[in-house]
Amino acid sequence: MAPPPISNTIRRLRFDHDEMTQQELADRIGMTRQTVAAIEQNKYSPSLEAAFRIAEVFGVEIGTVFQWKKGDLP
Amino acid sequence: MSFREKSAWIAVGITLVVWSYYFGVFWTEVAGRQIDGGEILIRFLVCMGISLVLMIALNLAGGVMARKNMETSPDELERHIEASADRFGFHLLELLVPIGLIGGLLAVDRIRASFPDDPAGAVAIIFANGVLMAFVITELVREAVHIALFRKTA
Repeated sequence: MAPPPISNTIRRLRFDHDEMTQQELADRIGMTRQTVAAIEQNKYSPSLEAAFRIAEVFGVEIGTVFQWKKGDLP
Repeated sequence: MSFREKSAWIAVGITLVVWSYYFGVFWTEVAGRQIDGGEILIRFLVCMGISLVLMIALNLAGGVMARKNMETSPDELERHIEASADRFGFHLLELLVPIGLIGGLLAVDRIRASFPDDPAGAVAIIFANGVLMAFVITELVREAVHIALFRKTA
């Protein structure tokens, strides 16, 4: 199965926030570290709610965290 | 590895070991035309007890080592994986139960002829164990799907 046509900047945002660990991010959004790792590696597309929660943790707009790859059909 | 993936590995391991033994012995006895309902029931209860005790103990140990509470609700990816595995398992069960029942019905005369001392009892025991085996295979595959999906996102 092809990865979802969405990229994200979670790794960079974690780095910019004092090297926040995946576990810290997971705890703050109520998920497991494995799920955060899957989202970060683009192996799983989170729900809209989870995407907003991640953006909220980093204090940025959702579009800063997730980017749609234009032109890619499902 | 997440707590739920560990649970799936534990379930697969225990199911393979305990229920392979149970069905291995059962079908060997059927092939040898020596089935005893009382013995089979006791063996079934012992296997069920061993499965339950091992699963609870290993899951508790896994939870303690991971410092996770078994009651923690699954997150969205885990729920998604659970739903996919359940769907797959349900379709497999829908397939296996009719195959088992039709196969059993076709073999009724042969079973009755093979166990002249208690033909009705033998048919009932073999049917019940066939259905039980369908459930065990379904559970095994469902847990294997869990593991495959967890690995895919790891």
